[in-house]
Amino acid sequence: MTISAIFMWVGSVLIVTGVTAYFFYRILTNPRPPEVPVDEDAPEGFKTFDVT
Amino acid sequence: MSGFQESWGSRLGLVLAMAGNAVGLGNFLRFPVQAVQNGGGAFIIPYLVCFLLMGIPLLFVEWSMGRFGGVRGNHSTPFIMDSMAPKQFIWRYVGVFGIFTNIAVAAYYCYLESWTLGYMWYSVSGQFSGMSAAEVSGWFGWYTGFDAIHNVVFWILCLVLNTWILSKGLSGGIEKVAKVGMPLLILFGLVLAIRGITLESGENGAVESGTTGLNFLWNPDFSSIWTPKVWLAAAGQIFFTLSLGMGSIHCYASYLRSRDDVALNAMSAGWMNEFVEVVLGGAIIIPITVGYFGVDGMKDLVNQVGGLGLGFRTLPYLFQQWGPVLAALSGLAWFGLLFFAGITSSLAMGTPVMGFLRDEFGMRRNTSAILFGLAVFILGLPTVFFFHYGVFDEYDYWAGTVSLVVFATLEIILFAWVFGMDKGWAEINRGADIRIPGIFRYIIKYITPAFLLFVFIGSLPGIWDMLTHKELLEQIQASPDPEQTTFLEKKMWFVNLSRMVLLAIWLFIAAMVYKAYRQRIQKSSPLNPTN
Repeated sequence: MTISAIFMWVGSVLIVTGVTAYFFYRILTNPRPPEVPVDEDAPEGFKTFDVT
Repeated sequence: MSGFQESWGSRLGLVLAMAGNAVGLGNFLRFPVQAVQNGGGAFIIPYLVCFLLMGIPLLFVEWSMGRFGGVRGNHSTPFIMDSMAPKQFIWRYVGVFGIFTNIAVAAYYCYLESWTLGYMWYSVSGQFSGMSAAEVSGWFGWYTGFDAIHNVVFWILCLVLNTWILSKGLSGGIEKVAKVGMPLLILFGLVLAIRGITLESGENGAVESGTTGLNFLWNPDFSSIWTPKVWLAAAGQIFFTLSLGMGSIHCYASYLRSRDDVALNAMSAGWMNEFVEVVLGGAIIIPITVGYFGVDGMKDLVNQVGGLGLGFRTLPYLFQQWGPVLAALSGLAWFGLLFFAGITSSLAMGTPVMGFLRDEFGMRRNTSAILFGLAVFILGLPTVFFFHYGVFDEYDYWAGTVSLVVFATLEIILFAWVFGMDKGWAEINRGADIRIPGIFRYIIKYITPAFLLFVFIGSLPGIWDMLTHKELLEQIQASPDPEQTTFLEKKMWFVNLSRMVLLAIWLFIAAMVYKAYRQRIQKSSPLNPTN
């Protein structure tokens, strides 16, 4: 591989992997549990409409 | 106001589902081909600039819009947009694109997804063993043709699987698939990328090393940076890879709570997509294909069959050079990763449609999932049976390309100029776990809309050529064979029919939005005895 190709490839891989890892580290160290118990099959219904 | 209680089970599940929505077959099949055709390694510069100036801002906007609407009980784009500009009815109908795109794209995307399932099966069962390159390539034509019935079986299997997972809900279905599928996709991708990069010249019949392919892909041609075509290609790639302008991000984000973060979540999901695309997507098909066909052979193949052709017509043959066991395992890994990339995206297409049906027509989750599955089945039939007449490509062009650009351009105008950047900026920052640089406020208001207009205007000549059948008419005029001419004329008829179908879908959804709006008015009327 040419030096410029290695530079572009390694640089891109390092930047993209580093930033992704950083944001995932932030997500994994800051989980947020659901506030309310999940009831996914609760009955649905029409909503009223806020005309304002 | 009563709303259903559905929500995400965990933050990681949400981010993986959002990343899964973005990561699709294009990460592995489209990105490397775009890079090869647009300056090699230098393509990454306009690509990352477009990601920063268009991708990230649009992610912030779509996540914020979704949460804003969801907090007000709206889980589909017509009424999410309506809640942002309640006095301007037009936005309700702009939001129709956010449902239309998902149904129309799912109609052909599920068929594409089913190929990966089928090819996974045939790779493991040794179907390609002993076949020549031409035979493997030709087998794809047979598989997608009239004679094959098993492509229909795999397609229906794929539709049933999607419908079943959607019926299990966000945390019970989509989130579980994302938590299993995304790590497996990355694992399979890493295994194949390492295999591609470490391929040695002379090994199992390879004529070049994998690094020759990597060199060709990443060797920068800096003169290309000054070409508008390259910037248009980079902007288009960023757009499609992040699933922007579809309405699925809005829908997933609409199940957040009012103080939940959108900034860090959006960045994590967006960057994870970039990791899969740049790091894994750039290290599989090009290095392996160059390894066996050389640089010139790979360029010819790219021009003839494109990324999709390389993935389905070429790689199964190349895997055979590694011996029967490795061929089966590589086929399983390659089509398995494409399958996970596909299903996490198709599930995201079902959610906005289900959200609309549940919000406005009071349907239960199972009913709305089955209706979505049925709609995709009916609308997908022409793409399956008339694939070679260009129906698939027509759906992809109008629903999967043009609609996205139109919708994203309009949504950013709504967010930054109608809803207002002050309110918009506050919405993005509400509950944020990271500090967003203030410059993004100006990027969202001025630069991203300008970028989108640049993409849209740049696409207009192509749209006009498509609309007037320029290429098809040229082919008909140049065709010396009457049989070929008849085929092309028939193809034009199917292309026109596809456009009619797509227009009819859009109008039907708009009519449903109108009906839903009337119902909302009646429900909130003081004359309604329930009020």
